[in-house]
Amino acid sequence: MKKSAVPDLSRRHFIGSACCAAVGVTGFLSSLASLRLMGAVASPGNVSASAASVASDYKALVCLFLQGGNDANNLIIPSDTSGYASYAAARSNLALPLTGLLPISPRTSTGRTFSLHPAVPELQSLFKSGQAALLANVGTLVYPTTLSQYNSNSVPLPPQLFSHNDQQVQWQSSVPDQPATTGWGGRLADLVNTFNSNNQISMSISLAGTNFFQVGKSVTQYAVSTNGAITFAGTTGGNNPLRYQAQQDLFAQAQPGLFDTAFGGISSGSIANTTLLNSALAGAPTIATAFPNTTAGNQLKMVARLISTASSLGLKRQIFFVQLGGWDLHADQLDSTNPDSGTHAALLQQVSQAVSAFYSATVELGIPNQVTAFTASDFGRTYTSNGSGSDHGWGNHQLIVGGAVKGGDIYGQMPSLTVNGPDDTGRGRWIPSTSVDEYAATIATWFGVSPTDLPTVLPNIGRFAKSNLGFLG
Amino acid sequence: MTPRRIFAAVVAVVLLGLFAWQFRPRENIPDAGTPSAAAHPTATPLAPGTAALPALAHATSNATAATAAAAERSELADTLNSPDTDIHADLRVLDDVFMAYRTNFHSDPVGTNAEITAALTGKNPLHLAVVPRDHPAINAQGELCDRWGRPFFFHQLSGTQMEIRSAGPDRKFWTDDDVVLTP
Repeated sequence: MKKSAVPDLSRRHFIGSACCAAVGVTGFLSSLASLRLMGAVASPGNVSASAASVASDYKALVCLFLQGGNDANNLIIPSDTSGYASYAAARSNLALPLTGLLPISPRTSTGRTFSLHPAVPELQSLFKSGQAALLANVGTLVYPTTLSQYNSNSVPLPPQLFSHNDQQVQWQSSVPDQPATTGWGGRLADLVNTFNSNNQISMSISLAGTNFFQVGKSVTQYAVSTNGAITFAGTTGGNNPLRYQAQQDLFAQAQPGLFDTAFGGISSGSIANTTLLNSALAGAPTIATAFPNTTAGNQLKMVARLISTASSLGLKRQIFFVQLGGWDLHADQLDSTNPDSGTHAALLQQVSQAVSAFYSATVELGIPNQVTAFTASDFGRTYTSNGSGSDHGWGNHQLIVGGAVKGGDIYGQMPSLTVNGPDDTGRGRWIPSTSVDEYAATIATWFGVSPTDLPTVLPNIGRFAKSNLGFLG
Repeated sequence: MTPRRIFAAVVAVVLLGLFAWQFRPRENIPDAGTPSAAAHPTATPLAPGTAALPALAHATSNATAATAAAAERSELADTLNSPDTDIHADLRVLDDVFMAYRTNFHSDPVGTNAEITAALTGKNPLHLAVVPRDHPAINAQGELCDRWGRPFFFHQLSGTQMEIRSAGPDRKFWTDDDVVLTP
């Protein structure tokens, strides 16, 4: 009798083989899933490339994150007689002298008079000329919240208020009531990346390393330094061409392992991106605008240079992240012998000079109306002093600068600035009257997001009154 | 029936039994303080209004002792400001207190010293007091104070990282004799 082509299998052998196969397939599928993720990370543009539609205009956003919590109570200061008296009494040794304050005249008058910190004359000029606006008392919120609701705990509050790390993430994700997986800048990039005709260089570029703001699902953030793209040691070919070529050949080789192959591909892509970006920067026109040689100045200078390369890289939409630390001033916030100076004044001066130079650079590049810079920070700070500085607060004032800004005005609603008043949760920690969602929605709308797509970028926007605060035209 | 088939039948019966056991009716979860709760001291919160829960930071390593004393005052902060210890030990005690709080709420309390102290002494969703309300280190303003009578400064770095600062013997913050525990 002819023997069957199917080998004889006992039940025991069949079960044993099936178990082994199941384990093997599980590992294989897991590897494939991991490689798909790695592929998505390595080639963020592939998803949108097929649907690419190049926009007719260019737009860029620059998020300047003031890490640690800026005390904007000393950026915008009430300067009418009664307002200043209340301010000076409440802030005690944190109060700035009235004589040095820089007056501003917001277009919309509320009957109150405000001035700016003496260290920001450049911002005062931008405010007066209409290129800078201020947004008052904005902060993380789950729902609009009143003092009575806060005290009775009758509405959900952002978890871990007053905690640095948590509030940074919530400001950058704008989804405080859920575990954050993406930032609102990242979600915005995911949505508008179709405007870009080429995605070899990500539209999300960070000058301050990895951050939560730019975490997206398909668009990944690309970190560069103030000198340009960050190169791997030995990968430029300048010092050792043979080693460079050997490295390239090694990465390009087919490897026996899937992960090895993926690693080679990602490394090759990264080196190619570095080469492309640095060559684009080398070919870009020199920016004549003088930038201050400071942390913020150098980062914003590189942002301006990167913007100047956008057309050669095929980018119509870019989002940048810049960060300046040192704002957590529990101590030595100002110089006791000269309150107009000190650590906080130096930081504000740095922002003022850097942002002003950056705006001038966009004018030089001919795109002032297409670039908007805006500030964000962990939280505001207590209105009352701790004796040497201020502690963690909540609502805070922010700055928006650019040619598209309907400047010269204070948007939102200034708090009463009354300790134990209607906005105060204790020690002058103001309940925000505007949510981060509303702030971000206004920016996202200017960036090209339609009202129907806003919830994709800002899932909680429907809970708040305004999706456009009007500070961008 | 061959021995192999008998063996297969026995295995099948055992597997069916195990499958049915998965869907057995569950016992009711006992209330805190009952003997059964002793095995799960951190999983079963105290009923609202319960004044104190002892030694929560060590509950996972000493579950039986912690639960048996569930109705007693927390001992976690007993040595805080003790003349037999020093400020460094005090900061470690407070670190343990925060760890105990985190064990139950997954994150530290936030706010001013008074707000944080209120949370530690029971103003929290479980009314759980990891520090007794009448602890001698709590001043009239409801703030936890160091051994020199100055309120501690609680710096919330993240939801699970609390920097604790004592102003030191000079009772002035941000001077050289400050003592700080950074997690």
